[in-house]
Amino acid sequence: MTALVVLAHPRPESFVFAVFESALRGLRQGGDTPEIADLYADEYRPGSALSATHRSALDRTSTLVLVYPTWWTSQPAILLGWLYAATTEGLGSVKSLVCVTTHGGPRKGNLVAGQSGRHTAARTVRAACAPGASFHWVAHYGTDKDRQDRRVAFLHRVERELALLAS
Amino acid sequence: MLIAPDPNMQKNQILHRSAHAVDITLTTAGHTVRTIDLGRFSPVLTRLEMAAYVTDQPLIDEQTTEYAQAVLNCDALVVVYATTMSTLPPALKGWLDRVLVPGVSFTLDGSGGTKRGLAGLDWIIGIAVYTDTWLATKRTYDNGRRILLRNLRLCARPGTRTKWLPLYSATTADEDRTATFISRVERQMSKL
Repeated sequence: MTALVVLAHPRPESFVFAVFESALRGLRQGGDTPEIADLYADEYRPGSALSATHRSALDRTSTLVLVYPTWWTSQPAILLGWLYAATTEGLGSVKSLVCVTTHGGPRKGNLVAGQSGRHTAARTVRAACAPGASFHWVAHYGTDKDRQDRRVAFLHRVERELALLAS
Repeated sequence: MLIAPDPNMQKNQILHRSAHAVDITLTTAGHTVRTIDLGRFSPVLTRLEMAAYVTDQPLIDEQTTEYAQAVLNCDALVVVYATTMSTLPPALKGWLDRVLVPGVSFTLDGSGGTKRGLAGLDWIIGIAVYTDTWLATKRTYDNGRRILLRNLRLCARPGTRTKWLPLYSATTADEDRTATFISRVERQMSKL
């Protein structure tokens, strides 16, 4: 069983893309050989079924890692559409659900606004996974006013936590 | 302004009756209703839009520019949707992602902070249909409601009023319950 890392960001030069690469590095350090579903590169459209490639990757995976920017306190529409298709078809092989996400605003502001994305993943998506599946939240806040050292520290954190999960 | 459900993804008679009730009641009362059909809207924020997001011109698409102008000019935003995975359906979430960008829902104040952008809104009204019961909805945090009544509300002026009209366990709703719900929608709309 391997990890499937789902990326939902359109720009390879973004911080989220760097986070995605850190997640892959961490999983490989932990001995995993992760598979990738890049929703933009694979031209996924919300409302459509999963591609055969994504479906078979999901069936093989025990760890589902979602890497995305938080917009409006929730997942981007392209990822919501993908998750809806995935939960409808079944996520029974997933024993560990991991969200790795960035927030433009500070942690306090996101708490006030409701943290919808976290609740959707932790409650609804996890409920479609295997019974007893674990949930891990690896989040960075305040990206809009960030310093470079904080971003680098988050990249290291992602790598470390994903390596631990994979080992 | 009425954001109506996507007919392709949500073949739900209650939603369409609700949207119709909103439209008819407001129009009869003399309001101008602008309806947005999410079935004709791509919810995916594009690579070019992401690049433009941090510039002075974040709206680069003709359709999203027109929707943004409509939001800024409207007095009431009425959103009608079927809850999907305890949150907004992707089509509606994508509408927020692509239309309510910096300069529309909020503006940057120059010091890294933000200011509310939807100063003209008097009302934000959500009409939500759930397959789950009230209790099951609360257990999953009702995330669509959180996004609209907390997150979006924070982008409107402090005096903006909100109203939530939910129909729980909609799959088992008989004609009596549905009619009662539609009447409630009509009563709320007649108060605007």
